Amino acid sequence: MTTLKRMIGTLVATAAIGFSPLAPAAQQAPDFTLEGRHGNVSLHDFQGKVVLIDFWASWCGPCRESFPWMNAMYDKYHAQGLEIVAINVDRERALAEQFLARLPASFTVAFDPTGQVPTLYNIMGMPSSFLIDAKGEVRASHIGFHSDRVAHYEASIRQLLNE
Amino acid sequence: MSPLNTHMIMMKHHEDSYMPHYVRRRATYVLALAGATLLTGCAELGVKPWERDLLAKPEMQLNSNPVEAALDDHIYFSKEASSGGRGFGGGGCGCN
Repeated sequence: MTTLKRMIGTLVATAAIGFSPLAPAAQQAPDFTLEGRHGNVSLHDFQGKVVLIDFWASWCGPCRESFPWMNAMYDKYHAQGLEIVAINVDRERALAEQFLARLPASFTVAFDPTGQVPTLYNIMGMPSSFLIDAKGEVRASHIGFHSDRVAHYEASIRQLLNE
Repeated sequence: MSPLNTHMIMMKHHEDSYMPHYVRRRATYVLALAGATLLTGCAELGVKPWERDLLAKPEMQLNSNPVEAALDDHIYFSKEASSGGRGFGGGGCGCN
């Protein structure tokens, strides 16, 4: 075999390994404890439930659309075992309270002004959301909130609730 | 041989150098090390996505009045047949 053929062969083989259908190991959602509106909020409190973790901030535009949607999801699916934890990353608590005054949340809200939990979850953009199943594994993560994809978001929630 | 002799011999390689060869080599090493260290200086720059609260404030925007900036740019383009150099919300390349 010529050297060129051997080189191409190696390249193709390496690429094939890279694209092999080996499913990545499911990630356990990192636990955290934050201050909430009524006492502390920990992820392990919601063990066994489907949890939607949403990172939001007062300066985040799409959050103005995601909050009414999350309220709707909470009202619809809370009885079936859905929990929503919205983690605020504002450094000024007053701004977060202003946002909540305009857009009240029926779900759990936690405050992380130091940004420890976003680092833990390796946030790539704002807002970010993570869907965690009853076993505590991260099943879906989304960057941004898009109103034209709400059907897909809701379908994922429904799928996890039915497991 | 005395150090002066070796210095005079090595002078052949750097004809007009006033620095002895060992000082020149050390200087090169130190400069290379400093250069490599400086290159990593900006590795930690960058705002994390959740730290943009200050940058999102109205007083931190590049344009205080984006609509006015867009109109001014339109007038400038009409008069000068050139535009650019300012960022404004609305409009874009080719807009007249």
